[in-house]
Amino acid sequence: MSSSPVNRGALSSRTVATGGVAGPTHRPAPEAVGERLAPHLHRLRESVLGLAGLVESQIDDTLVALRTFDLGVADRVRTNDRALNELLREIREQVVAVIATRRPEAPELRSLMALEYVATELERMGDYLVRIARQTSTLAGLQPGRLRPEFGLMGELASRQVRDILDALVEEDVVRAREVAARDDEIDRLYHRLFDALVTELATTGDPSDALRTVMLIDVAHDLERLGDRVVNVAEDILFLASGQVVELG
Amino acid sequence: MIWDRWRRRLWEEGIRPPDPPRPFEDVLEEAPVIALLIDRDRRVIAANQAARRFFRLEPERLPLGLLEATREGRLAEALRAGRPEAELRLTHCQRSVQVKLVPGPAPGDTLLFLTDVTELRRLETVRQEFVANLSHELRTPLTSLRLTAESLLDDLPEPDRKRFAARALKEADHLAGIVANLRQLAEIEAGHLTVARTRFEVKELIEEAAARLRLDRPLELDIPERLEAVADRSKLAQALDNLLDNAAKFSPPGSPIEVRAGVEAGELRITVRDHGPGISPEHWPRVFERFYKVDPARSRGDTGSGLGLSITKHLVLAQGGRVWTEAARDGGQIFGLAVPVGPPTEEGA
Repeated sequence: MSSSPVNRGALSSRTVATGGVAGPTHRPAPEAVGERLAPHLHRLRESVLGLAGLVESQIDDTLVALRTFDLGVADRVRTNDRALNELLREIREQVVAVIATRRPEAPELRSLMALEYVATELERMGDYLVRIARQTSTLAGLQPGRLRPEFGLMGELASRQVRDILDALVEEDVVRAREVAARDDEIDRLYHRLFDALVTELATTGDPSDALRTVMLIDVAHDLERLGDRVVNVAEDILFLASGQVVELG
Repeated sequence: MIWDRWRRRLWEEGIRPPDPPRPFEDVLEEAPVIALLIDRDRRVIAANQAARRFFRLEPERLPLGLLEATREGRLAEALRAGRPEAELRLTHCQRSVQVKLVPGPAPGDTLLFLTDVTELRRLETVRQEFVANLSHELRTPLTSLRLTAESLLDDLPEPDRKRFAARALKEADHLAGIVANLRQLAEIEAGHLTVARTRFEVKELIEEAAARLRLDRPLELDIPERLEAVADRSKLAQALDNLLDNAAKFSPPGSPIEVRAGVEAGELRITVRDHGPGISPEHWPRVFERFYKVDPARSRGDTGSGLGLSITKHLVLAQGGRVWTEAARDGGQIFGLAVPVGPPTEEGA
């Protein structure tokens, strides 16, 4: 939205030849380097979006596992994380290969870097999900109890944040990225409420197995909160991608 | 327009597009099925109307990578796997779809057809669970009734006989209540309800409901003085009874029930907030279903039929309104209803 047309053109797959029918006419012709790199950036974008899709799918599974204490689904999250790591490795290779062999200029280099940053954040989100899946497996073996609705609220919010930031990334929408980052406060607020309630629970329980359960739940809440922080980092990367400016949103 | 571009592309590749005056792809443009044309590089080169709406795609942006166009990782996976038919849960738009892959008109192209089956699957679940839940709801009072009757067969001292008979009566009433509620729901759903709009004062309506229910929780009202609305008062009263009753059931003793009302954008909105544990969002779309229980381990009070929220929903829908639930900011749950109101008239009711 507020990205410069040159930068946008260079990064976007819209520079792929379309027979001259698509796209507004006011956009300046892409520079030679941008044109040369367009197919590579296009492929890289698709890879990063593939990674994002995997993360979304992992979030859904993690939340189902947590809600139902389903060991099978929790295991699947842990197994699927390998694909995520592998995809990040491929993305990094792609970036290095483009830098080494295509000699990108400043705007393209920035796009490459930003996409690599985003990919790294997405992979970290995956790590938090694996941690939650692991904690879920432990919780499943303990005394069952009703999960506080705040977990569902945090999970739903985190999942929506990831989906929204993905939209902002695809559209390179700086305004939207900022809006998403601002909503992280809501996750933090829920986390603090949950933390207070769980600590109170911990202080009043006499049963060691209940205490373990509560500590595990505090960990889960913490990881959900951290997942939200990673979304804020992606928002910062989008700002960098669109404007070249490093902005702290957290 | 997109199909024109596609045709041009076919020409460019030396393929003659189909030549009837209204080619098949134009028909596809308006078809009620989501259709995407994907080239061999897995780029979306054309999308029909339904697809553009579903994926919020701007046609000028095509061609686009499949992921960039749809943002659905599982769709890309399905295309890669090449299975001609599959049912997928799309993670980005959170919908369930049936996918069909068909070879496209140009070599290497694929036509991707999607049908949104989210609502269908939801209704299937509702239908399946309804019977199970209904039998569960009826079984509990029936078992109790049977046990009481068995006890009455024994020689019992007079006070016990009376106690058991009273219990039997109570269970019978409870069963009758469920049946009456079910019948009322069926009648509302069949559209046998006539809407009678009258002018009334909103605060009065709410205070009356609270008095009728003899709520043992403090009531906090946030309603503009002398707020009037023109709507179906008696249906609103019954809908409100259910919301207040529900709030009282799930609030800890002594915690207030907060009711807000206001007229905004041509509708009367009433929200009831409790200070209970709240409801996890995955249940929100389902709490207005018949007999739906958020926590199956928790048994409902003796008086509940499990149909209150469902009746509320249908009473409100019958007036062209809507119902919803959401989390209150600092814990607790909010249940809301909104009904369209007529313009304020001088004569009143």
